[in-house]
Amino acid sequence: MKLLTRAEELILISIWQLKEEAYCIPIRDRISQLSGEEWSLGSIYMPLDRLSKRDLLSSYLTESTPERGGRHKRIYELTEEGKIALRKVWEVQNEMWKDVTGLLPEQK
Amino acid sequence: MSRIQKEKQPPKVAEYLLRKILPDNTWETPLGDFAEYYNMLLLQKGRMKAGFWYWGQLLNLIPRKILNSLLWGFVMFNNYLKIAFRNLLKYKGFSFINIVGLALGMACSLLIILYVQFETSYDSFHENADDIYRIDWITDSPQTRTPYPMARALVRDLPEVIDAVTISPMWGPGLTRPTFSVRYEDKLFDETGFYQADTSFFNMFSFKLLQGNKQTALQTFGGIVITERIAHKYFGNENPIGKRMMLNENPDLSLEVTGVMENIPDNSHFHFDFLISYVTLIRVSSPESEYYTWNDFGHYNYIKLKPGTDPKVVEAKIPDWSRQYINWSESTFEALKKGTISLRLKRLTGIHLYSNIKWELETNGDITYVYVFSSAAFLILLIACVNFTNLTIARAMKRSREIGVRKVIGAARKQLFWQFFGETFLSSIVALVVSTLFVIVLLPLFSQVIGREITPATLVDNNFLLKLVFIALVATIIAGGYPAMFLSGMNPVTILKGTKIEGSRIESFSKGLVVFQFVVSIVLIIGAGIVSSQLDFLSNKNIGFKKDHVLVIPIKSDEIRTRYFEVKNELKKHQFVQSASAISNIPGTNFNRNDIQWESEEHRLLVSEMFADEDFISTLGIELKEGRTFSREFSTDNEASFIVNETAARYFNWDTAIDKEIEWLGDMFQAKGNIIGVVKDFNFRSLHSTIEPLLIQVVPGAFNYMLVKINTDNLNEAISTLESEWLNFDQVHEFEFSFLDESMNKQYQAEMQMQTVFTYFTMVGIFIACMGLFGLSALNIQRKVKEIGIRKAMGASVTSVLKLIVSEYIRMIVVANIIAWPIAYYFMASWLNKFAYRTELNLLIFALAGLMVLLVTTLTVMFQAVKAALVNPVKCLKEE
Repeated sequence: MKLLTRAEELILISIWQLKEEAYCIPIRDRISQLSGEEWSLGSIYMPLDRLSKRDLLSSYLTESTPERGGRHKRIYELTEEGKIALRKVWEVQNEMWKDVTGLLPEQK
Repeated sequence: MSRIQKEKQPPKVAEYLLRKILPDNTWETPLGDFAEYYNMLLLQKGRMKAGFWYWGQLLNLIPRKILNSLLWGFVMFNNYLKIAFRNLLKYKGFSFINIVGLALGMACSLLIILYVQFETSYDSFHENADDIYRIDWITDSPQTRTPYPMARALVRDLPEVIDAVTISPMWGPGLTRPTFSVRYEDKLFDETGFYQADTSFFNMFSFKLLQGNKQTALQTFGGIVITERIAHKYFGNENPIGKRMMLNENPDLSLEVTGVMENIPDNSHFHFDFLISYVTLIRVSSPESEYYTWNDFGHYNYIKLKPGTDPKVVEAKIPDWSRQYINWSESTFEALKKGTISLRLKRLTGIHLYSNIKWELETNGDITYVYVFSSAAFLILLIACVNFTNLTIARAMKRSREIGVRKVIGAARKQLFWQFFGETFLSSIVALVVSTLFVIVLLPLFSQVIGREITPATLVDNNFLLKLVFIALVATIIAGGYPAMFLSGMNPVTILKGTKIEGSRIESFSKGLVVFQFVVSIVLIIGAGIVSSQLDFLSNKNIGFKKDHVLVIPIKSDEIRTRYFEVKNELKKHQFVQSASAISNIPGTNFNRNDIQWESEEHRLLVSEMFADEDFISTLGIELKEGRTFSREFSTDNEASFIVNETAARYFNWDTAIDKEIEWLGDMFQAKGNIIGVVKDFNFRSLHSTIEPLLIQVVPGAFNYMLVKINTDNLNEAISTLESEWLNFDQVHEFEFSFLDESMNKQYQAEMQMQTVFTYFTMVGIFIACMGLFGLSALNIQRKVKEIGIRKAMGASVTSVLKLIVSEYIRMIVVANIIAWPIAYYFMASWLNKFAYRTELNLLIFALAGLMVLLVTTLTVMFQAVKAALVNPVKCLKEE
């Protein structure tokens, strides 16, 4: 399976953490916070769509709210494949950084 | 929703647009997200920023959206175009048949559109043309002429009438158009286009006065308005205004040019070159003349109504109104009130196509011919479209795989429909280019047929391009509609499985179309046949006099009129002149009519009048039934003796009309005298109408033509001899001549036009149909190749195979004949009803038409069939 990109990784992690609140707006907010960059809504949709197509995400619709103009939210969840994919990148990352010295700030 | 919540809504328009841009089914969540984010911004940064953001998002999306659809649209379009061209080139034969057929059909339609447009444009160039009416005098013999004062009186008395004008051609004796010689300095020509008009002429009609004063040009006594053409002819670059033109070398008839007007457009129902005002003519007319009074129904009156007035309203007022001016007899007035006779208003723009009564200013068109020509052209276009439809469907098998694959890949039916429709349109466009070439090549011929100059330059104006595209679209819809529907509706599973697709529905549809083509062809052939047999009939019918070898020389000078006997004798000295006679009107044209009266005032009869000399009857070979012809031995024969025709004689309640006294109540003078002879009826007018009562008398002042019966082998020499003799008597005018039989044929010009058009259209139609049939039969035989092979392998002979193929088409032709005959019968019978004298509807023509189509079709199909029947069965069966 293809490795996740960093954006995909960020999104999947946010979704995992946001749980019930994992829809577009909070996901964007969280990623913007984490990365320190403004992400546009559009740049979230694309990876969300792609990840859903690869079956790493599933989604369901919830009730509508007035501040959304009476429209439903689409809440995303990780599928098993999603979790596996996340784990995989974590492993690759760990593996990669294990022998790297002198680059990171001193660990306490 | 509360006010606050309402304010939280993102901009309505932007939201709507966003929703349209987003793909179907997926717009809801994103829209919700956008709304939520918008609200957040609204709280943090205010309305402006939030709105700005929302619109920004939208604008960000649009270019991408457009690019996307453009890109894919272009890719698909490119593909469609490529496939279309490949198909055109791959099947060259069929493309040729389709395109040439369509092009021919389009060319015919284009030409006819030009013709129809011209015919229907008559007089519409006048401002308020729809509110201008001519007053017609509708009796049992309707005529266009009414009394001169009527126009002005109507304006004065009726509030609905806001303007009026009277015009009239200048009349010569016997109500023919006179010839004047016109001189300006050393320029001298014979001219015939003289009209008179009242002072309001230029207010009523929108002819432009190029030089001179519109208000006074027709107010000046002794003034004359000329057309640009004439101004150029006589004055070149000089300014014609104020110059004097002299008529007939008579210093008393020297007229001052007061205006130069534009040439009268072709599509006007009257034309003239010289216009003289009533102001002048009334003053010089003799005081006893009734020509300008209420008593003479001799002028053309036009009135302009208030915009939007219903002419019926005015018509209804006329009977009572007219009583104060015209002294109607009690019975006439009653008839007027009842409406059996009436003064009717004829709309100016309808005169050319819808009016054909006595004394029309020019030979008018006929709406029937407009319909006939348009339907013929449309039918030809239909034949070509049918070819296209049939061949496309017949080839569907070849395209079915492409359709199947496209559908499997995901093409929607709509896309396929437009693809095939577009292909048809492409062919139409190619055909259109070809047809434009055809039109340019055919224009001279067509101009000649309809007797009117149409140049490529006229094509360029008149929104020619728009018309082209219109025709292409019509052709595309007719030709491509069904195939596109049929092809795009095919089921991909059946196609790709390889099962045969053509059902009986398609086959009978295509057969029906072929039958339709045959029907049209047969109807056209029958039409052409009957028109020419009627024309044959007209020219061969015994019309009661001999029109061959008779020269008609117009008498232009009074000198010759008064000395006609001398002139005749001089001419007769030449051996080749058998006889000569002076007359007022040539047979086949209009004749003036007046009452005659016998015994008492109750016995009155309206008769046509012809003024002729003593040799008239012998020159034309008319048979004398009773009595004698005019003779110089009887002094009373000059103006006081009459010859009548049989029809007139039948109205008298006498055993014999000879030596009975009658009185002729002419408009120029009245005469009383005896009937000295009765001639057998002859057709002095065209064969559209029956023979009416006729009165012949000797009035030398009214002789307009000299008929010269000649018998010679050397025509040119004879004519030049006649000319030099003639010019001894008339040094002022040019010598002109025509042949009686030729000028009589002009009466049937419309019919001859119809014959020509029918003949050409029939040929074109049959040609296109045959091309289509050629292609269709080739395709059908191709499908039957295996069947033929098996039959032959089983021992079938070549002839039996031929029979198999051809019999199918023969059946169709039989059906087509059954349908076509009643249609043709109906239309041709009603056409023949236009004639008082008509040929019988010859069933032989019907049979011949059927036979002809049968023959041509069989030959066409045979060409393919023989090829198929002769093929070695091994060859066609070994494949698979």
